[in-house]
Amino acid sequence: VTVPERRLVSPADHLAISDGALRVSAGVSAAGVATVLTVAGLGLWGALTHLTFLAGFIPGGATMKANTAILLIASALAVALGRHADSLGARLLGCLVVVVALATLAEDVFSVDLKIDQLVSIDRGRGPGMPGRMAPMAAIALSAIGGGLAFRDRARRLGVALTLVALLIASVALVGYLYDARSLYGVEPFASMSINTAMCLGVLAVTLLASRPQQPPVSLLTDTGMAGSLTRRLLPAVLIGPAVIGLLRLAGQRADFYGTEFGLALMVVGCTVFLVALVWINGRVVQRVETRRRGEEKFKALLESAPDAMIIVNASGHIVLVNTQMEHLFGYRRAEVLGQPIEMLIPPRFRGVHQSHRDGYVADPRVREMGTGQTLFARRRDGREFPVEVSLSPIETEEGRLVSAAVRDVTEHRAIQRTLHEKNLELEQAIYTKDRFLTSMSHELRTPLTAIIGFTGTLLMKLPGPLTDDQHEHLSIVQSSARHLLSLINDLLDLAKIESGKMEVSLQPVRCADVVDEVMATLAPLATAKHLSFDVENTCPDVMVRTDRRALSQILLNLTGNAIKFTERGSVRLGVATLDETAGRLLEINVMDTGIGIRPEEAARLFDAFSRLQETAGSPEGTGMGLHISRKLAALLGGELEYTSTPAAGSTFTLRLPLKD
Amino acid sequence: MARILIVEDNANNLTLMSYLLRAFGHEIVSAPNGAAAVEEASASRPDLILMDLQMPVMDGFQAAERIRAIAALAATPIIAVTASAMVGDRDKILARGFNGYVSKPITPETFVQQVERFLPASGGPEA
Repeated sequence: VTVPERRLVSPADHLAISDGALRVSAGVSAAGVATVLTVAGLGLWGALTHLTFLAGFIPGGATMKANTAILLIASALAVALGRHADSLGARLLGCLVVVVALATLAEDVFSVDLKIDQLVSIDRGRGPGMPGRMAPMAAIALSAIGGGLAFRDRARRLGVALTLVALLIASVALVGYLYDARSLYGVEPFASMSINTAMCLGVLAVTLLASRPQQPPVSLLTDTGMAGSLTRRLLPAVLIGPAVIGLLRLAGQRADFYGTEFGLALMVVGCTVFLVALVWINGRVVQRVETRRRGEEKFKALLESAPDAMIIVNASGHIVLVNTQMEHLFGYRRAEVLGQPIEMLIPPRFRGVHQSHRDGYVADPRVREMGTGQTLFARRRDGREFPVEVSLSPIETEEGRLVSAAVRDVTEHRAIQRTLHEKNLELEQAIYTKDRFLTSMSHELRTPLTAIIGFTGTLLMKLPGPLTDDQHEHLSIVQSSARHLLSLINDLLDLAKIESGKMEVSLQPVRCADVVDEVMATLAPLATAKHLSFDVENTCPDVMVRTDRRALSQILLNLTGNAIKFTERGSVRLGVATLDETAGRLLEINVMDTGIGIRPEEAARLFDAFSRLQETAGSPEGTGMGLHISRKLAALLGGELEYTSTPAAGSTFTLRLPLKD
Repeated sequence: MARILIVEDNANNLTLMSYLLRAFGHEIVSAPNGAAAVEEASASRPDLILMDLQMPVMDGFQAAERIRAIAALAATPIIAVTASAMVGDRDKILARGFNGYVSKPITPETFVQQVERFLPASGGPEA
């Protein structure tokens, strides 16, 4: 991201000149022309009527010569003629001034009389030099002014240089008069330039320069940027400061406070101090401006680095600043939106409402984050509308309260949301369908099995009639296979419910001993059939646990059933106890057997679904899901299921459930 | 011997239960759904009712409520026969007007014994 460096001084930077500066320069021009016309007019009158006080303001001093007055008037008219643009008349007048002034100068240089000095008026004055002839320095200055006029728009640099020469000459004369006119009498060639001539020349030169405010060097003064403000600040100080210091030095020396050398030293020190002060003040100004500019640059860079379109609006709702993302999003170029009302970016039907909302916001501004407002609509340059989210925050600045708006196009976001919503609905439908399928499967599969198991049972009970041994054996196989199939279906349905999170547990106070007794009663026949010792040691017969009775029962049935299944001799014992752990009171139920045990390498797969360990693979019973479902159920109850085992010696499975008093 | 009303929509199950109970000398009447069960119960005044829970037209819970509302049948034992009757559902079944339950699929060897436990002692000649 680059921020274009502002050009401080630029010859062609017309945009950097304010209307005010143009008005001031026009005023200066007009006043200058009027002053010169007045003073020179008085001078001409004085020369013609020999009223010397009109031609020379200092009694006994040099007077303005008739030719000088005429040339000054011609020059002033030329300035006025060409005040707006290049003018042939102005250039011709300038040339006339140059010719007459140079001719006068030639008279001095070559000591000839071209009879032009008293062409208009007979000079009876007592001034130095030839009667009626203007001072050589006045002639040089006038020819420079004439040249400045002639080249004002044709050879600008030359014209400016000549004008500055005239200004320099006039300044020397004026400063000379300021310090002491008398001491200058004897010094040629400044001797005889009258103070009113010098003043007119100075004013003319300034007026001439001011007539082209958009050109250097005046453009520097009228510049609206830092250069202009610095120049305007420095120039008057530099113009007045040394002159005043010089005057003071002279006054002191004349009053015999000090001699020439010390006076000079004082003046040098005075000037140095003055200039250092100027430089220091100047540096401060530059520093302040730079700091502000850097701040602004940082702000702009920040604005550019924002991912969203940023629009800064002032209190009246006009756009002050935007970033590149805004240009891309809205299709406008920066210049097209700056200064425009923010409503131009909003579809017409929302503009009225927006305006009132905006007024409300400016009155009571607070940060409004992205996504907290409702979705609005924005309008691109080509008229297309798109949904946006807008975040707002107030910015307090020197120019008053601004509002920064980050605008984000949410077209895509909305499309994704819509798609997601649709997918969700589809997914919900699919899950519902699957659940319906599972429920009906459960019913449909179990119903015929019920009949198979039931009627196999009646046959085996020999209710319909006696059976042969083979018939009895075959029907027994049918019966056990059907029971196995039923338990497979039940486990599958339970598993599906658990995996889909549909297994609901309803936690209620349950007397643990009741559940354990039921499990014992249910499984006692199996243990007895294998001649296993089967008992329970309950150290807390009255403990109540808040749990799901059905899930607890299923876990204990699985664990105890497994214990009996995998134990050929010895015992299966249940132990019930409470534990006080740091995490709280626990109910611990142990199912201990003296069976085949679990080998360490089998441990990893023990709780996986459908993992039947090698030793049990040949056994017809068991679905391989019992431990998997038990552990899932234990987790649903907020408990845990663990085991310890010694191969060939037995296993202990431990269920721990939280107890709340 | 007792008169037992079996309410069951599945023909095979009905046959199985009827067969087992008849084999032990009981008299059987039947109804295929809850609504029919209410009518049959008031008509035949059974000593015990075996009620499937999930049935078309009227489910077992509703039927049990209606039968309980009939004064003459207010004390007749109603036994639920249900696949969902695992341990955790027992409370719900007992709370809704049933005297007990038999889980489905039934175990033929013990079914008759389970049912006979609920027969009122004074209700007819006991086997």
